[in-house]
Amino acid sequence: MTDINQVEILLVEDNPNDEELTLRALKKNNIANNVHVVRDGAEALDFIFASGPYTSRRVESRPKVILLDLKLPKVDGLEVLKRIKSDDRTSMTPVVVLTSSKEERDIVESYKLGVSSYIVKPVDFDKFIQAVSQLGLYWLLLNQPPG
Amino acid sequence: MIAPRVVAILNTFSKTASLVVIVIGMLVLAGWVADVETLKAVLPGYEPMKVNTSIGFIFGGLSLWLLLSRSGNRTARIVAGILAFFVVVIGSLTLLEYLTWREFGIDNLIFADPDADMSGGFAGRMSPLSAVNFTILGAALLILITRPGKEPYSGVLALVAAFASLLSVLGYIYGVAAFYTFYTYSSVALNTAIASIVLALGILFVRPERGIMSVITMDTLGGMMARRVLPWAILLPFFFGWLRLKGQELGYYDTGIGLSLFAVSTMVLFTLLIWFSARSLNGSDIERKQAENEVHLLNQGLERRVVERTHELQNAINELGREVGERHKAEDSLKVSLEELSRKNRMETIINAITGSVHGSVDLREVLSNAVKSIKENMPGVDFIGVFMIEDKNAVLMADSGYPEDVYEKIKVIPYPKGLTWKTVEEGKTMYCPDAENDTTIGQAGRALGTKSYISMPIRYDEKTVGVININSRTADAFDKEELSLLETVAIQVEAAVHNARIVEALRATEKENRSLNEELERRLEELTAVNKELEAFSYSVSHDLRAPLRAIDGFSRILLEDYSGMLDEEGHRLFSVIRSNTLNMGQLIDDLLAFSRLGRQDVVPLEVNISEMARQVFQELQPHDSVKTPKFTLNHLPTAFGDRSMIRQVLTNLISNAIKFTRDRGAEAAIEITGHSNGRENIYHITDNGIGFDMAYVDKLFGVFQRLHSQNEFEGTGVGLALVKRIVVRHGGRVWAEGKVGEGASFYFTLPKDEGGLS
Repeated sequence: MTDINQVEILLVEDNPNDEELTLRALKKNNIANNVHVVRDGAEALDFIFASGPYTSRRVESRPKVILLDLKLPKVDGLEVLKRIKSDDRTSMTPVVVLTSSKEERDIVESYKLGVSSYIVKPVDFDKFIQAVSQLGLYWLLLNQPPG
Repeated sequence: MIAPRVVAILNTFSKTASLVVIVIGMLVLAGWVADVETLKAVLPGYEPMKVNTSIGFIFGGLSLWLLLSRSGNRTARIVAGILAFFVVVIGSLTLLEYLTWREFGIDNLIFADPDADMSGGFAGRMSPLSAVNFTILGAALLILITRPGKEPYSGVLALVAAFASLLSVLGYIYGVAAFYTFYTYSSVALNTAIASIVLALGILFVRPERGIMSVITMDTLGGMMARRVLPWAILLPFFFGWLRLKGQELGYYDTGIGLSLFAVSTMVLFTLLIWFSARSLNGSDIERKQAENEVHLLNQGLERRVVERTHELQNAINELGREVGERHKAEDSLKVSLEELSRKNRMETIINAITGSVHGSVDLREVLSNAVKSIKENMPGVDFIGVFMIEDKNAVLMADSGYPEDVYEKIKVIPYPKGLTWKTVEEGKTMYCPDAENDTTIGQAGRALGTKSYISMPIRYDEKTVGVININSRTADAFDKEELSLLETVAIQVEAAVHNARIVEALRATEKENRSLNEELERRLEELTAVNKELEAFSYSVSHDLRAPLRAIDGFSRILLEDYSGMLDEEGHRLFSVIRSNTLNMGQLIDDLLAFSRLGRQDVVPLEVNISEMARQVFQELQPHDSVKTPKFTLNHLPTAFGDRSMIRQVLTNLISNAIKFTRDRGAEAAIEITGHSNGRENIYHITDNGIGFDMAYVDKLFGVFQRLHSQNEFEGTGVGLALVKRIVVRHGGRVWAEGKVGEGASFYFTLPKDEGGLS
């Protein structure tokens, strides 16, 4: 397992199949080394704000990107997004919503809360691989986060 | 007829006489007191007036004075009477002394007569003549005082006394002692004689308008004659007598000649006197007669004028009578027209009250009550009035003017087919019976009311009798034609009220129904909202959860192909591709279904849409990358529409993609054309292609959900696209339809609103 202070991608995903497919896509582009997976909204918040099982983590060690599903157990994705964006320590962390929902109101709400990108998971695996690869490359390699 | 001036003069004379007599008496009395001879006897050597005589004069004078000036005073009259009585007493006692030869001691009662022997008779005693005079005058005074109306007696007595005294005076003047001296008795003093005459005349002239004096004081020829002649009748003989006496004494003639001369001269003078008097009287009489004649003429004229005037007056009265008659007639006719007017007024009041009530209220019972009240108040013949409304088989009393309790109980509900009311209902026309006593229709209740005439009038509504107005009168033939027609009008108004009431009833029922419908609608809306929410949750769930497994199926079968491709033959690869294509189809189906269901909930955001530009963009996005397969696309100028941009884009997308799909077998000949035009408030657009077309027999199925006319092998698709097009167009208030022919092509038409107003 990766050092929790070295995490570059935080993947918030409750569906193990989607998690596996996502990780496979990232691996194909060799960017799956520093990925940490949490499986519900509450755990995501614990990780991000270094609480619960993640107290040893430093909040300031921000991941380069958070891939966030919306439909999550315990605390839903929009709520997680809202907490991230309303805290100064975490508000600058890019969050990409990666979800099955094509609902207009989800898209609008996410952007209102300050999401960096909203991606609908394609059913077509080829397109899925393509999408994940592109966003991994973009956020980890091309994007320049603030100091 | 009395000459008032003469009366006044005589009255003044009487009053003066009384005072003169008193003064004489007082002077004499004073003479006695002071012993002055002159005062007692006037001339020296003459017989003096006795004390009693002077007292008699004072009393008599006082009595007369009181009688004249204080006659209204009772005490004065009593005093006057007492004084007169004393005068009588003095006279009569003295007379009694002479007759009885006795001395009563009254003669020298106050003063002793020093001349006791001078008269040779009785010292201090008045002469018998004076005694008689006092008795007579006192009696005359008493009569005047106590017996009003007996003036003739007092007058005669006074005259007697006056003439007797005149005789004494004549004796003194003619120098004949015998006239004032009787034998040896004391003679009458001169002043006594004068005072007696004065007192007698005074008494005579009291009330000169009555008694014997009235002949003299009357304002007639006789009175006038008496007043003229009488003084001469006294003075002339007196004067000629004196002349004759003096002539004889002087020896001019003897007694015979003297008497003859006296007689002749008296005759001549009287004849002259009477002649002149008669002449003067004749003149007066002629004047009087002329005056009388004039008066008569005047009277005649007056009478004539009176007759004329009376005649005129009579005419005037007749005229007036005629006028009064006419006026009475006019008044009568006015009264008749006033009555008529007030009748009309009352009728109008009834109509107004009822009309007002009908327009002012929809409560039938209230309208009927007002009508009943107004008719009862304003139509004199109406004693009872009741309005019945028919409810099923009962006539129900709705309003009445107050039937007696027992009658009310009988008629408040009249069951079919009893009595007059139901007869009116069945016949449907007004019945008027002027003579109810000989009528067989009227029932017991009507008789109990004492009905002499009645009206029963139907209230009609919708060509049926719905009620009856019954009017009873205790007077026979109480209603005339006019009143009946008024009541007909009332019935029509009541019909209007019934109409109103029915409409209101119907309205209320409708309102109630509407309310319950509304409630139902609201309930349904709530249900619908709940269902909609569920549906939303459902579609959200579908969106998330249905796609994830599909992605897993596709993803893992792909991984299998990648990682284990060496272990699969060609058939294995084919089978995996079937899995994958089905997975993708299902993904597409889920997307389309979500879009379709979302459309029902999504609000239309209407804006102006440039259809031409939008169609061009859509075609560019959809055209195949292989230029050989690109159909010929003709875009004519399309009118601008009004609607939701994203929805309209969906319509164009679906229709254009269909056109491309179904023309792809045409190769280079494939052609798509879009045209459009305005038609009223809407625009009609159509997309025509020369693709494979369709059989018009299935045109109804074209726009149904999941309806497809081609197999999946021929043309892919989910069967949702056209259903979605229809739904969007319909939501914009438009229509959609299609024409086609197998192998020749198809045309899809849809309409959109031209402007905001066209959007329903």
